[in-house]
Amino acid sequence: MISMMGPAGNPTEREESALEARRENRWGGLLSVAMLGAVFWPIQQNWREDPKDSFPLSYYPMFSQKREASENFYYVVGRDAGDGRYFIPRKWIGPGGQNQVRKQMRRMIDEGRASDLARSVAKRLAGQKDEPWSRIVSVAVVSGQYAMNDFFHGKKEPASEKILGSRKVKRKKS
Amino acid sequence: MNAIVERLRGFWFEPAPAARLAMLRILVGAFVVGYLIPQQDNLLDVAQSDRQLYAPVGVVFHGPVGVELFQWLMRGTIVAAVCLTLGLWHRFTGPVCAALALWLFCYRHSWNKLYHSDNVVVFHLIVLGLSRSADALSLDAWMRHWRRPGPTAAAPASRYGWPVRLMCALIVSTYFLAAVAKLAGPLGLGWMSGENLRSQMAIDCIRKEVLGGQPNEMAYALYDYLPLFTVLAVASLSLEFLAPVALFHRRLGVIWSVNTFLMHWGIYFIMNITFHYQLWGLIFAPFFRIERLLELPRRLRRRRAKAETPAADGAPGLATSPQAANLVKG
Repeated sequence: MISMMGPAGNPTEREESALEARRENRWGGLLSVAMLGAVFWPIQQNWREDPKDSFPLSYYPMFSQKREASENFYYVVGRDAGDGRYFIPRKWIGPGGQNQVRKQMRRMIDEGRASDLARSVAKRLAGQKDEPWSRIVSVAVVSGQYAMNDFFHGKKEPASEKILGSRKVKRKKS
Repeated sequence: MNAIVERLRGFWFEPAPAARLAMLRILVGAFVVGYLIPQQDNLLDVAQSDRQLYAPVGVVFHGPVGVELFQWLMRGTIVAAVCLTLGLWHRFTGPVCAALALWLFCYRHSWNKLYHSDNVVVFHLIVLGLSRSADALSLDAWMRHWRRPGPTAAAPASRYGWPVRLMCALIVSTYFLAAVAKLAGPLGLGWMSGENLRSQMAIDCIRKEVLGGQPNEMAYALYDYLPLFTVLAVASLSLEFLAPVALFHRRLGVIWSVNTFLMHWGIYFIMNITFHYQLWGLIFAPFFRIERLLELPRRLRRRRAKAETPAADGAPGLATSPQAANLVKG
């Protein structure tokens, strides 16, 4: 008789434990359905004309975009007094990782604020004392068209480049 | 129909040991603590970005918050994650940790960039925070035992099984959704040609260089080998699309996990993209009987003890192997 009652003890305890298990399973079922339903909800974005991604509920569009042989990139170029050309590292463009900086830069450009961006980069560079950044006299936010095959076979210059906003770097005389 | 529902119920609520869920709580919690602590300055920088770039996502419905409040919430999330890891006052700290982490990650993504590698971390924290993941291997369990001494090991139960099942389901769902996005995209099945994958790698490489980063030597070395990208594209799309299969058979789950883990390392080597949760392999932990790690020291001790016993076994009459028995007879 005792062994049949199992580890839960007397029948009342057993009933209570079964009731609790049922309650917990109901909670588990509810949470599972809710979370999986929510995770699958954004799948509809795939068939929308203007899909919108979000977090943490996403339709995971990374890598699904069609890529062309030639692509457009936004970046910031600095020039020294001798017309030497330098790509400005992202740490002086904005906070966050590479993709975050890129997206922020793109949004500012789309909003017509390329000059504001150039001004803020120029301001950050003005305080730099390390070479070659201390030699930069002007910065330009540009849009460059790169042919991928050419780039990976040594031709690293853009096929075309358009200046969207520029600014001189003003340094305090020491 | 009833039989299917019953089978589904039996599958979803299959009993599991409390230690498995507890181990997941410890691993995921420790990962989040280890991820957030060094990221504090970075998070703070992002939270102080140009307000015009702010585009709230997820559970963030408000405008940018003050830096001071953000710092408090960030530290609060870290403290809650520490409590979750230790299993301290879990009934309170579990849901609080889930809610704070959800808010913090959403807020971090509200500045115009979504990191798709963070989604599953948040989902897993929600499951662990809202389930009985601290019934074992926790300070709560230790305190309970201290107050009421008795047997410590909780019996396998469905309350420990469904959270693990849900964690696995959430993982495979995200991969499956990524496959659907590729197939529903402009290329459809053509995505498997590998050309788009190669272009993606090339674009990523150029982006890094024009933003002042170092050239990715691996990308240059591999660019001309299109067939390699075809193989990689077919393999990765298959892994993503077939991910749900991994849910229904334990061994398949393990095989899928190992392959997907390797895929992430491949992405890291070729594109230098770091998906921390995936690269550490922690995302795949729910597919394994990780509670067995706890038995490892005991097993090792036993093996060592066995290795040390042959001297005693060598005595006549104690031979255990046929060869040894022959030697004794001989």
